[in-house]
Amino acid sequence: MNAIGRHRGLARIWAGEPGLRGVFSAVSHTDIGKRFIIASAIFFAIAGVLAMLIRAQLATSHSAFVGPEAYAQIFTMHGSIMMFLFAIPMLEGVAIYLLPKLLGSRDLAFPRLTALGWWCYLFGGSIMVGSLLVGLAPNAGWFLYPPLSGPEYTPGVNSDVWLLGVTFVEISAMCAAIEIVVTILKFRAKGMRLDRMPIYAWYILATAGMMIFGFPPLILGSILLEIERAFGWPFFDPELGGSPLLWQHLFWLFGHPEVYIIFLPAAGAISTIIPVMARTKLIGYGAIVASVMALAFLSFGLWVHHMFTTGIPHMALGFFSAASVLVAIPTSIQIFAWLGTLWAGRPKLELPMLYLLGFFFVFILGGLTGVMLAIVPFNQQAHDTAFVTAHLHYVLAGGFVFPMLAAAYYWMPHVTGRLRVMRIGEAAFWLIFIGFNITFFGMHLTGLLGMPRRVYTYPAEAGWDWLNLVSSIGGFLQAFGFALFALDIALQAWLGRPARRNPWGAGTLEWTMMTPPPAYNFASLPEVECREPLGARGTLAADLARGEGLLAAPRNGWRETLAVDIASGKPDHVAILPGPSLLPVAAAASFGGFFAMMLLSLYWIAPLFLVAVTVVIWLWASTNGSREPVGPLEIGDGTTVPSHYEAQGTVGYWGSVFALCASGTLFGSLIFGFAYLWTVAPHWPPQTGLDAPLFETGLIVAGALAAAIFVRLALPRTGNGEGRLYLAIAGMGLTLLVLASLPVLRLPAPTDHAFGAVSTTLVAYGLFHAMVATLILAFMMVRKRQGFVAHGRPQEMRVATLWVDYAAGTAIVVALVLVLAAWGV
Amino acid sequence: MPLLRLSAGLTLWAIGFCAIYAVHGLGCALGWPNETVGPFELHRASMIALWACFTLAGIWLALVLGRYRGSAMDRASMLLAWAGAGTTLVSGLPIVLVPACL
Amino acid sequence: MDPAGPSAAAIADLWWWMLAGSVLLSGLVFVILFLAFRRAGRAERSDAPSEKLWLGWLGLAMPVVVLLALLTYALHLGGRILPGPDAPDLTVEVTAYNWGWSFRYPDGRVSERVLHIPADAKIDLVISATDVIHSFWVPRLAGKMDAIPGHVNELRIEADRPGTFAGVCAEYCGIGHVDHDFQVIAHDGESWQDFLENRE
Repeated sequence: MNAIGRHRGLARIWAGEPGLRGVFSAVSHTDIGKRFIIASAIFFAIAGVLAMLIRAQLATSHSAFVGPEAYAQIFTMHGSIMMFLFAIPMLEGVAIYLLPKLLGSRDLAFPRLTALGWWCYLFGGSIMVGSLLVGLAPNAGWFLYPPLSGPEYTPGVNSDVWLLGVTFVEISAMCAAIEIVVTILKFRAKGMRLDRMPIYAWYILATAGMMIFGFPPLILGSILLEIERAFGWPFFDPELGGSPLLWQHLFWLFGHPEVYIIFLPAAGAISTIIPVMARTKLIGYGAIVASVMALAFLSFGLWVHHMFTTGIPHMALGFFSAASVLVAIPTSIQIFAWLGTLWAGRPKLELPMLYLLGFFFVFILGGLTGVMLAIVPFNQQAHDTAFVTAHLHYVLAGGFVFPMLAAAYYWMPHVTGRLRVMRIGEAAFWLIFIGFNITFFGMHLTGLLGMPRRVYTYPAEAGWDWLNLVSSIGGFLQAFGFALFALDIALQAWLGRPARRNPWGAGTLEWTMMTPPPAYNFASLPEVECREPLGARGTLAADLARGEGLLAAPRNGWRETLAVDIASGKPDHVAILPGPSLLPVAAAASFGGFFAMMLLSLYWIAPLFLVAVTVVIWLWASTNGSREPVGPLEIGDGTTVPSHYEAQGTVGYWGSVFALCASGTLFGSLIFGFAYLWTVAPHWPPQTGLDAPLFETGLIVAGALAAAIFVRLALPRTGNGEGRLYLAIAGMGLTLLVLASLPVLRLPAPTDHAFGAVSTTLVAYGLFHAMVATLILAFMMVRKRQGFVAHGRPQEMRVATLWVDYAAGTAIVVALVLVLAAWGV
Repeated sequence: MPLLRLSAGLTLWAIGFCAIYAVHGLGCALGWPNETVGPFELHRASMIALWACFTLAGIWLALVLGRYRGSAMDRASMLLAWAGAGTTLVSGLPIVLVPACL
Repeated sequence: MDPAGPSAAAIADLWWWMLAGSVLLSGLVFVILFLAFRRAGRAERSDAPSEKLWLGWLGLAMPVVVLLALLTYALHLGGRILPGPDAPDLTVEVTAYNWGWSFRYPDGRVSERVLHIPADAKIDLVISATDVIHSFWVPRLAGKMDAIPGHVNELRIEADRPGTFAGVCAEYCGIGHVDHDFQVIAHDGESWQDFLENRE
């Protein structure tokens, strides 16, 4: 087969569906990645316009442009959109687009999950922006502190829009995070050991891992606050044993890692671009991997530095201050690695490099003010002033926007296959860079002079007028810069001359494919022996196109890609990926219906949409698997490996593991919340106690253990096992029923005191997982009968076992926590 | 599993950090600073004990991981274990520098 | 940045030190960047970059030294400006609400939106709120402290000279947030006696 024939065959297999249907059924990571990037750029523009409104309002002390209510919606939405609808989706989009191409794979691990994430993001983002158009946008600040955001002080729908919209978008982020981790661990080129991965993959692995552990606290907080607003369960109401500080802990437990979640992918782009611009190799690969991992961990030990003025004892502040100071060290290691790389190489001032110089300048200043703010006494003075506004914009624009602009220019020839038209990019850079510094540099001073944040006006005698006017002028310069940048990118996409392949002379795999990239990425999959395979073998692109790599021959119309052993990168099995599907958009629409009903307070209709979600997911899972044995497959290097139907440790298994890690984090945060309220909130212990539910606990433990044991005995290698599967269902069903009885028969009313609210929530969590596990077991029963689960194809049962074990474990923990709590009251 | 070795040092720090923070919070809530064990303040002594245990455990882990010397990953694991031990040491400094519950 | 109390003054000193350090460090980075690009134009070089120099000394050792010194000093300073262990000269209960401040003195008197204190004395404020979260901040006297419903926080302030100091609510508390301000009047000995006896 020649290169053209291979191209035609693969293109046919990997093509999306035509027409409108194709818009909704697309699953290709290249398409979805571009959609994420474009949509988040549009949200950036919307939030940018809101920022312009803020600067117009603050330009002088006597602007009467908007009133306090409109202003509150504007600043709340500026922050919320930038964080949740621009920064996170942008980094996801870039990772979704690039990762398979950098790792030598044909797509991500779960193509339909990518699409689900996209639709959730689009629907959730639309709800939030739509609320702005009708004047009902969230107005309690992007951090949504209760009681201000609670039912009493924000009776309207404003806070619900935030809670539901953001949670919807977070579902999208969780999909992306799980997908990215599993893809990096399993879908790499043959021979790509962990220490041969492109450095960007390390950054994204750390980022996605942080998302898996960092987002659940916020999801939990949003659920609790929404329940408080909708049903009056007093989690955050100090009159009834709640605490407003619990929200702050949950919010910042997410909110600080979030800053590094945004910074790390951008730093990954910097570490990729700088060596190419300097025409050398990155120095200190191992040290950079170590500092990325260190950042990922340390950033979870900083959250209280957003709460230095909430009256937490000084020693506890000290712990977090120390961790906040230490987090500067891994950052410093990376900065000096980049400087050393530039020093050692022969850097050329190409346009991406120019933007990276902007990054160095802005981010260094932001980092240094960050160290200042980590210092408790200074923080208590500067907290909630324009100084912090200046700091966070220096960090986020320096640490994310400038690197992303550099990345845009660096990878545009890859996305479009074209070169840029005129030298507009330089003009845009200087407008953005100068405008940015004019806007925000003065704010350090305005803040130190005592100007608080989130004020729509200020007294003329304060003397802040000229500083604010300068900031506003700078803001408008920046806006022109970004408009020019958008124009430049559009011109490049439409009018640019075709670029030759690999215009920068890079060494990584994404430049071995045609540009713009074909849907299948690689005509044949590369084998790698070093970190820069293209740099080591200049003919790699042509060799792969000729089919000298792996999985070169289209087979059975399958979308094949290679899965490898996590550590060594040895071929493990061939993954056969699903094609275009309408299931993701159906699932997202069902979720959307649920959130819309919650928003409209139609609480009795909302659960119907969750049933719809369940049905879609059932159908989704039904499309997987194989009824027949497939047998070993040739991969093209003379060896054979099994297909994913008959392999162990498939992406489905790992995806479940990480989904459960995320759920476990949410569960852990809930237990933390229980302990926190117990020790810190007023009005504890509660008036109405609880008799220890010992009998129920016994039943729950018995049912859970039975389910966990019999699901193992039902694994296909030990015979047909249908009867054992029935016993497993019976055990899980018993656990489920007993859990469901607890709120009805035992627990105090959830509306009377936070004790009842939290314990009922705990039971509801256990109940949710018991229901999921029961459904999965029922699904397994159907699959066994249909022949999808059989000797040699045990994968689905292994995944089911994971979910059953988790449900059993959490049910037992919930019961024990209740017993302990009952004894404690 | 190289990823677990890579994460070990800082996971240990995270556990120690949470444990010390929890003991601090519980102690302040339950009024431990007023209780003494022999010549020691119960609250501060228990925090110092935890701090010392986790720092020593971190150093031990770093020494163990220092014995693997193959790839760049092994070296990074060792560096991260030292980083974890160092971070435990530094982030516990307030225990001896600052009054407990003010 | 015109401190009028020991706490604010100590923080101002800290700020000038940190600013000087930051200027030095950022200067170092910018000079290295500049030189790297200037070197690039010259003849090719084959010397491998020293990881020990760039990562070990510049990336790791330098910040460790600087940051540890800063942290130790700051923890010490932070402990010093806390209320206690020495007894205050006066304790005032502060209650924030939408949108006002009331100050209750030991003799049971209450003043609205104006906090009267004697100059040159240690004042402990016992701060809480009745509705949403507010934050008590007098920039020239001390750092801020949140007023949180259901929680009681303490802040020590001290004015080292008589005068009137503006205070604001620093945490967003709804549409009246901007006007949620107050004044602190620090009296000299004589007028403080007047305040105590006058029962305003």
